[in-house]
Amino acid sequence: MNLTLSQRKKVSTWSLGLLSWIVALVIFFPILWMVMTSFKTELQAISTPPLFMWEPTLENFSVVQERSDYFKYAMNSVITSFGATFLALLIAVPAAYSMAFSPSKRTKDILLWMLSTKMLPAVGVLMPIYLLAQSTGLLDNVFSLIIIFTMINLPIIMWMLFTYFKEIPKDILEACRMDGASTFAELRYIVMPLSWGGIASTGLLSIVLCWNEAFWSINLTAADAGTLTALIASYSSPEGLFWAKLSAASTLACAPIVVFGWFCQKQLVQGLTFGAVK
Amino acid sequence: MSSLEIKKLHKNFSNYHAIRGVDLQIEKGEFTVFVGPSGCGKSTLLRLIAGLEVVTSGSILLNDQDITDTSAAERDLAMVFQSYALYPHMSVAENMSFALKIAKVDPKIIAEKVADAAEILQLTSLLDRKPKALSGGQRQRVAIGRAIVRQPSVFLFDEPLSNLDASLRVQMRQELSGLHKRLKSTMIYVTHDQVEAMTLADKVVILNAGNVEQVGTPLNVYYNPASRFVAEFIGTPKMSFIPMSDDIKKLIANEYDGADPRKLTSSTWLGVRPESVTLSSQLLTKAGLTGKVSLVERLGAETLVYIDYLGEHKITARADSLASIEAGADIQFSIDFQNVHGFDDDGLRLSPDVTDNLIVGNV
Ligand SMILES: Nc1ncnc2c1ncn2[C@@H]1O[C@H](COP(=O)(O)OP(=O)(O)O)[C@@H](O)[C@H]1O
Ligand SMILES: [Mg+2]
Repeated sequence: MNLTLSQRKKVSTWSLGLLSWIVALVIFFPILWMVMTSFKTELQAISTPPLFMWEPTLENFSVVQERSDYFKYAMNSVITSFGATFLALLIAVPAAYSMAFSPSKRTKDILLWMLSTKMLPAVGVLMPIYLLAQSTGLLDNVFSLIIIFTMINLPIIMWMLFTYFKEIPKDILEACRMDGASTFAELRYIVMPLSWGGIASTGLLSIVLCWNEAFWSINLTAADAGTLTALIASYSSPEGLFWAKLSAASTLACAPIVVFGWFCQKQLVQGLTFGAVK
Repeated sequence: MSSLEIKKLHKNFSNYHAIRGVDLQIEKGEFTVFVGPSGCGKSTLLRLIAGLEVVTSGSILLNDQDITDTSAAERDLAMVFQSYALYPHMSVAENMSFALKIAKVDPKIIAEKVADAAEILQLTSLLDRKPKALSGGQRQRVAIGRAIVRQPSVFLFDEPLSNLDASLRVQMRQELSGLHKRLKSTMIYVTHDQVEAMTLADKVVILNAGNVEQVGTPLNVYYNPASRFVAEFIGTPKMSFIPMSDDIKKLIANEYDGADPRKLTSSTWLGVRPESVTLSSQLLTKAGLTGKVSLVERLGAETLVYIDYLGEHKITARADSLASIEAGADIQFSIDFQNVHGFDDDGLRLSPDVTDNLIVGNV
């Protein structure tokens, strides 16, 4: 087969497109299945062969809302993920600024060390943290979740902000200093506006990570401070598995963050490719 | 207008001694140029003055006040960077007004000052543009405008023209010179380009490996270089250096009737500028010295002739535009010993100053 260059280009574009559609479908399929199951009755949910055509029902959703107050859990998820993200940014922006613009000999080591804390299995510190929360009376409390979420995401947030800040030429900050700006003014008028995309996408990522965090919310919360992930977990419980209801709860838990992510998509992509494009 | 004094200034980077005891006095309204080869510490010295680097030892005085430990933000100096360092997210007007905004100046006054500076620098029509929509020369102007608007005690420039193309560089150089005459401010300018130093400076400071090699007016450092380093650095084409020999001693004796007022015969090296070399096209003239033409550069207005003398030592000479000289030919030339400098083994000049009336502002 003798194809011209432009024909060969077309063929490769097409086959790449097809391949990415297949991959996307494979990844998306479980989510699709979850959403479909949430609109089935329990019997339909476990029928073999699986049903592709059925009369959708909203029953599962009302059962979920009845059994456990969905909105309370959703509110807890919102409070913990936004609260922890805000707190983490408040700490990480000045910290990353100082690491990026006045590094010491140990800065690289500190960055690596921070990342290494992410390699520790969370269950390894479950006991001490549980006991700490218990003795301070913060079990089943959103504040303890906010603090823990802040700490587990801080290393990643620091790393991301550090790389975004590194993109800002040192000369610009020096010019700003020569213009009489204090460190705070420098952060506010130069560093923050110039890395706005990066800060926003870091914040978004942190919100998503907090929202999806399950280990700590399952282990440290119960009825009061439970987040949506704890809610889902409660459906795989003593009474046995109820696929349809579990799916309904899961769909409800995922929906807000998916919608949120959809709206912030542009910002996220922009932020994550910041370094590459500039 | 401000004066600046630097006393016994040292700067050590972790393992490198970049500034090695600099003493310097800069007068009110003076245009001072730090010049020297790349890596000699010009930028470091300027950044120490700016407060962007921390002094290792010594002191810096602005109007007789010690500012050694004052932060850059509080020194009231303005700096123009080689990279321009404009704020990319701000318009030209915002870039120029940033310092005043930080200083909480009345917005009306800010607007006036920005308009004035824009007028001087022909930026009025560009005030709303972002830096990325400007050409290199325009960005340079904005960077200068940002400094002018503030009316700082001292202007600091770190190789501000080196990112511009040659013709624009000449134009901006002339504009900067005009700006200094107009503002009458104290300015310190760093460059590795000795032409910029010669054309802009009231006072040239020649730096070599962290030391001040010589301070003086442009013509004074040209006519009376303190050392071989300065002599070689200032002036294009470069000064040539010839080792002392018996032949030359004889010629000197001839010229001065046995006397040696310029202490040439006790020198190890003679520094000869191209204008002190006269070529004789006719081999018959008794020119005195003979060499071989190694290279001829025809620049149009003039021709540069590089002569191998005693094998390896190149002497640069000027010839007429259309002079019929070819590489490889033998050539005779003479040297005007009145304007030649003698240097000792350490590169220090032995010859007394050339006290020609032509040297303006001799210090
Ligand atoms: N931050 C730094 N850390 C270590 N060495 C430096 C630093 N800045 C400059 N130097 C060294 O100091 C010397 C002088 O540098 P600089 O003042 O930039 O020279 P130039 O005359 O070209 O402007 C150079 O050898 C350079 O490598
Ligand atoms: Mg430099």
